[in-house]
Amino acid sequence: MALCSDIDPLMTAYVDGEVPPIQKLRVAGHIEDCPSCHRHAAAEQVARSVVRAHAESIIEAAPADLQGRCATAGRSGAAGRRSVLLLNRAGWPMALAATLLLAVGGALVYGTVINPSAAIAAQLTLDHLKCFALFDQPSALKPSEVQASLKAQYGFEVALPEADQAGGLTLVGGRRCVYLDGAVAHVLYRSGQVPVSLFVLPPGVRLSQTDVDILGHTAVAFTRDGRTWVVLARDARANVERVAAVLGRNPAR
Amino acid sequence: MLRTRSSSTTEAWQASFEQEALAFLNRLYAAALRLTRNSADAEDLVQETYLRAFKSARQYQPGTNLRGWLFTILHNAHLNQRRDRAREPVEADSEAVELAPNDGEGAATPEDVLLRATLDADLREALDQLPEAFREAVWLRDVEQFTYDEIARIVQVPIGTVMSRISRGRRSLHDRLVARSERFARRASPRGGDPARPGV
Repeated sequence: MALCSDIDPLMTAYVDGEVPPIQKLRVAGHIEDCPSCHRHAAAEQVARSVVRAHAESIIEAAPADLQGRCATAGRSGAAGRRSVLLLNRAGWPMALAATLLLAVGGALVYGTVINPSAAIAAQLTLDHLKCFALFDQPSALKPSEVQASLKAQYGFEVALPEADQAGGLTLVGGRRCVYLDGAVAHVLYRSGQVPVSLFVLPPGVRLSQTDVDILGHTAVAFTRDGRTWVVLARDARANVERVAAVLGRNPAR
Repeated sequence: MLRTRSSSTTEAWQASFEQEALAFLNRLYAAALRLTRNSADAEDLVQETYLRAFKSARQYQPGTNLRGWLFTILHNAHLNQRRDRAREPVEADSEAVELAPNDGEGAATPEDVLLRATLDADLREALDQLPEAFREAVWLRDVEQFTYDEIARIVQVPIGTVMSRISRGRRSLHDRLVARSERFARRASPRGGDPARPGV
């Protein structure tokens, strides 16, 4: 009689009906004589039958919007561009995310309280640096594409200027910033070679100070469509103010 | 080897590839749910899978196993994400899992009882309790019905290891389903049984 240790490696193929006829007789003979292997084979057979009986019904449908998000990956990713529209939590180094949370932890209560502008600007600067450092940006995106993506993925309503009205800015991405419970829209531009971020803060968040210099970056804030918008770049104040004026004057669509 | 295509045929090919790949969305999402046991992480994982797939589309040979290729990407993306997040111990390929003793002797419950008594939710829960390597092997074999060879390519382990994982995964799953069924039977017996679980 074969040893259990000889039969065990063949058990799955036996249960699946995929062992050659000669081995099948050998396995069947052993299982008939060995109570332990008989129980193992029976257990495996039952589990196999149960799972296969549920194989279709156990498949849970993907969320309705997931296909659209994945298709966007196809349109931008297949062309060799890393899509910044699709950055998700998976793309975040956790150590950095933890640092961001620690940096802001406990500093912010939004709604009725005026937020410490410097703390917010510091947080946005970190987000700005992270996104431009970690992720490739495509050469240019259509404002309609970014607006639609921000709306579809995160529910953000952000009206962006058309390319010919953007004062020379090149639109290179849009995503959600995890700051302030992930309720901040982050739009990425380039002004020449200079990375420029536009952050649209959630309703109720107001800054006590509208121009802040932090970590070598300049942040300029203004109110539009009932929200605080912040333009941030490592650039001269005059240039950042010019960008803020461009983004602030374009009518919402 | 990279193929050369004109820009128009490249676009058409990409569109066709995208359509074919997205046809597996639900299956990839379901597998991602079992791997991550969390819907938000599963969505992230599927997005990452498609992003990688579309970026590497030229490496795919038309007419070959697209489903297997996508599941391989899903498996690798999952390992990378988990490594990056480092939020749970690595168990998938640990020797401890491969050498784990067979779970108990198991109860000799008739197959038809479990077949009738097990609901989708019960099965998902029981699967989610298996060690990840076993869970993935059982899912790929019995839900996706990949061959042993395909699974070995997807998870990048020898066929013998695949068969061992399937075997131990099925036995452990059986024991969990039996235990669950017996718990319900004990709870239900004073009041005449749970109508949602006939025969229990």
